[in-house]
Amino acid sequence: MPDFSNFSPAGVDDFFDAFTGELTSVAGEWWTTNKSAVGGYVRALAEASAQTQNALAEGRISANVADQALRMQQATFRQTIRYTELMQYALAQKVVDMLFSMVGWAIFNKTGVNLFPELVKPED
Amino acid sequence: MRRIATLSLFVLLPGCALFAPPYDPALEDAVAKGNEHAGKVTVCAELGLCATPESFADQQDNYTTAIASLKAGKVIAEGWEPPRFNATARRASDLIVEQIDGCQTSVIELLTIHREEGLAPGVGLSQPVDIACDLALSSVQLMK
Repeated sequence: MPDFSNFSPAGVDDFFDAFTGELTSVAGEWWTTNKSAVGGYVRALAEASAQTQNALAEGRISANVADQALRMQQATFRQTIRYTELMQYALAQKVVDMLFSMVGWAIFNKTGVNLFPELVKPED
Repeated sequence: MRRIATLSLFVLLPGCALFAPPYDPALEDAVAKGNEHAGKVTVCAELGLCATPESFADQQDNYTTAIASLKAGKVIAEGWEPPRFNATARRASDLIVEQIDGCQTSVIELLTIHREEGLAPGVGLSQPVDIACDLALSSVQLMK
């Protein structure tokens, strides 16, 4: 873990740039793969953190609300990462379904036997 | 004998949830409703219309509808049984439940803050709720 003890971003863009910079070095492969799917969420969460930081500094929220907000952002960031794992399974399932529907249609068209009625749905 | 074995293998595999549960429209409806009502509260917050604890009363219906719908969605998602010995589909199913749970938890946390201190706009409270609930809905839709 890098040292963030002097980290004091000037604004949302600064925060987001620093954050994605760290992401690239800590989890480059994950970030490259999932940037297009969850990049918007990561940016919005970085924006939320910057807002919380400013609101607390300006006295617009209590320390308690700031603490809650940061916790919620952290939980949602973790949820975003778990979502990318789910994406992998969904993709694998699509590939399997595609493969079996190809096999199923090939058999159906040759023999008239429908082995995979869930995937092969000929029109009557 | 061999032919029967091969045939039964083919009959068992396809259409089967090998990696992920099947798509369920009832589940999508429930999560979409939860998402929609949670969204109404965050819009109210970001417009500055929910800044006081007193404003909670006007939003109570949205909170209860959102939480009830998400709870219903969780029951549907948890009710799905993967084929036996299918660890990956089980994991995917657990992840979907977890995503719905994340949305529900964030709505409940927002509710608590709303009642106690009100929701000031632009302080980073709305994004986690919007994203958590958007992810929950996207997770269910991924199974399409």
